[in-house]
Amino acid sequence: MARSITFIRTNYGLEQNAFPATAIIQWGSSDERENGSLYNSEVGPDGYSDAISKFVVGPIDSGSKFQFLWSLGDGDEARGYGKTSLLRYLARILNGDLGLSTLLANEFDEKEAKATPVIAAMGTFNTNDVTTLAAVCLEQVRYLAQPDAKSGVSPLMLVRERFLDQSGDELPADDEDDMGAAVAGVIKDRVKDTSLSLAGKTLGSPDRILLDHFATGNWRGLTGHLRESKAKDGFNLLSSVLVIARAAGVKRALLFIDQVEDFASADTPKKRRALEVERFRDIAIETQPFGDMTSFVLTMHPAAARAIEEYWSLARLPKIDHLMKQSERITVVLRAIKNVEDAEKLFESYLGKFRRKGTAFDSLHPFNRAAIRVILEERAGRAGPMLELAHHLIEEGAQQSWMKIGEEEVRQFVEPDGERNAPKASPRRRRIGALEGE
Amino acid sequence: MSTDTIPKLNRIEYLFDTLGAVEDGLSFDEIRKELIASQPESQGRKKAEKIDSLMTNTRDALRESMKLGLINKAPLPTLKKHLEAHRNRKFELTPEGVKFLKLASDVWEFRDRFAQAMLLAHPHFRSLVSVLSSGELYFPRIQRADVPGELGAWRGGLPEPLGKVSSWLTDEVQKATGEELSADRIESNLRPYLNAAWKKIDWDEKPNVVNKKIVKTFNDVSIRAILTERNLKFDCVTFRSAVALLSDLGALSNTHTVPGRRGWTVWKTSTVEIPQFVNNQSPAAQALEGKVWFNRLMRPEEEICDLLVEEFLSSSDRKGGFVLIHVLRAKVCHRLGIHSRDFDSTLRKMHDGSLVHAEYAINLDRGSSNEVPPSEQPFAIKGRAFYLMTLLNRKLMERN
Repeated sequence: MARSITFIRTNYGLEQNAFPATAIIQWGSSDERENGSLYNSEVGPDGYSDAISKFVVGPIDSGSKFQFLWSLGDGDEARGYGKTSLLRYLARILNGDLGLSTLLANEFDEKEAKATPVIAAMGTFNTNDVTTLAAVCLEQVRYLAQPDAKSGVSPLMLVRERFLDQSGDELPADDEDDMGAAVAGVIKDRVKDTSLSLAGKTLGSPDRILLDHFATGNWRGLTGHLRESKAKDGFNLLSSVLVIARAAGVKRALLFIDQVEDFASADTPKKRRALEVERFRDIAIETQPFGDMTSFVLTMHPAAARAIEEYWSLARLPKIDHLMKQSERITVVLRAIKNVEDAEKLFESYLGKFRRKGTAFDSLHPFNRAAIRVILEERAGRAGPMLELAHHLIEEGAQQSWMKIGEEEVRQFVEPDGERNAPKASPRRRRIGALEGE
Repeated sequence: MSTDTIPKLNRIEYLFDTLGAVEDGLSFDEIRKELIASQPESQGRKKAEKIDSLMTNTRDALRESMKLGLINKAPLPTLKKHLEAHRNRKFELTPEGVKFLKLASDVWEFRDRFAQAMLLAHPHFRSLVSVLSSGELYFPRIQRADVPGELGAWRGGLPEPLGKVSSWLTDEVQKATGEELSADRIESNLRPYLNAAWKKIDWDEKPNVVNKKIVKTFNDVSIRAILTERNLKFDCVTFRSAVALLSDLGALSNTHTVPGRRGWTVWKTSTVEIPQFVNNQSPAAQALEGKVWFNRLMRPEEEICDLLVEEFLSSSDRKGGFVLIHVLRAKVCHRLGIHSRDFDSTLRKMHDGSLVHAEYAINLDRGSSNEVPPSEQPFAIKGRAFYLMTLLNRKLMERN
């Protein structure tokens, strides 16, 4: 059997299948199709600008601590609307220049934007090893230490650069051999001063090894240290990073927490849920520098919201209920893609990335508008499942040697085998007196 | 009071499907397999694969069809060990059975006339519908703490004072429905049934098993005692079948989830004016005569939609912006006195956009299946179950 990729390159003008094989963002994957980095902020209803306004500008201006990201629409599921992609994209954009360009684009003047650096970190619950808030914090520290796949720069590297920019006068100028040690010394002193200046409850001094690696710019050592750290160290490590960031002048840390439904799953004992929600309050509000610097964005899911709301209310945290007036300014609701133009933009951002140079195909090839309309309808406007279906259509097209993928090909593919091949129902199997829809 | 054999079936579809299967010339065993195949998976379709699975349901469905006059009378197995002798037996439709099948193209007329036939065939069904015409029935659910005494003492006889249980039952009924029942009479109704049940308890089983059985016994017997007080001669099992069948036909509705109540509520969703029949025809033949006199109580969909939104917004059960659909359904249906099917139909239309509320759209979710008790039917669209719902403010959606 011929390789599909050969057909895809020759007839579809693509380096490879441009779409992800699953509708699930793969954490840490270097595959751009799978890791959400091809997110297009111009697609669909205004989720991205709403997110900037409520998750970035709002917390800076009002100091709000908790924000919620929902995906609700006409579809039947709360998945696949792009919550994870949006947060990853937002974090990446913010960390690229510590929020400068985002703030400038949102009514901050240059002086104010420069004086308000922000960092954003992502962490995600799972049902395996990240089942506590401390474990999520460790994930977030690891995220901040991870270089961006494209720029090769991590948020912590940018924070260190900011130290160097700010500390120019304090650094020795002459002897370059001593430069590294001198810089490290200056950074450590400033971090320690910042730590000692914190009032109220803290988690103690910054993690010594983390600070050493950061101060000397030993990123390999830092990554190794974080890799070996245990979930229980998460709070202290994140606290250390926040103290470092604060010492470098960072004003706000946006902490994104994904997959809250895993934390709220029936497998998590109620006692642990209650305890973890209490910790949310203790850490996020009552511990420094979390209290001053952090703002949390949680992706919400109906079952998760129901499961944690009782404890959430008992801990006097803001209402999760997306319908309440008081929740409006802290809640972003992602909706399904409604029109085919937006669906086309979504497809173009993937196809464009993998389009072979010098090919003369149009930007949607091998798809056409009619095919994309069917895909949109078939997957109820949910971006993740639409992209997943596109992946399978490309593979099927290569197998079947479809020169294009139009409406007919899509319909043929999505029609369940059972419906296509099943014999007509026998008279005996008709349902006497059956009511429609039930 | 006349005697009446209520078919021990929990779905009216057993009877409908049996009629179709007989028309197709299937044998007893083929009908049995057909009924297994038509069971929803949630009701054990996958489990029901033994050689005699659903034998009694098949027999009861055929027996009931004969009683209604839809199928000609023929011998049926009484016990599972007799199944072999009947496995290949085939059955014949009566002329009325044929007429009913012709009616099936108009689903509602078929179902309504079927309800008429069932009411004509079963005096106990008529009594139940008649009692419900004067008010709903409520059966408080007894928990372990409501039964006086301890396991050790129960070995020697009934928990005493039994009057404590009967007083609690009557108080709960009075609080819920305003109906005054006599605690003394309830106690004297309870006692003989409990005495009979007590003899069957295996005291050598594990204490938690015995405890559960005792609580179940109390609940079963209390239902019977309350029914006796209302001159309804059902035992608990046949009453459950009667409610299931009459509910499927739209004559009544029921739920264990009316907010503020811990128990089972049954209310009427139909009016029935049975004409006088002078002939000696079968129930099916009489049910086919004249105009339909079984009337399902209907409310405009817009009214249901509005109340659904109102109850959602005021729901104390709302968590994270979501409510359990079966709880909201119980509230709305009980308040309007409508059938749960009408709520489901309205919700489906709101979901597919054929019914629009001016201020809110709805969103359904499949999470929280573990919060739906087995007594409640999950809301489903084309067989796909949804358990949670929320509303979306249309103005906000447009603004975004």
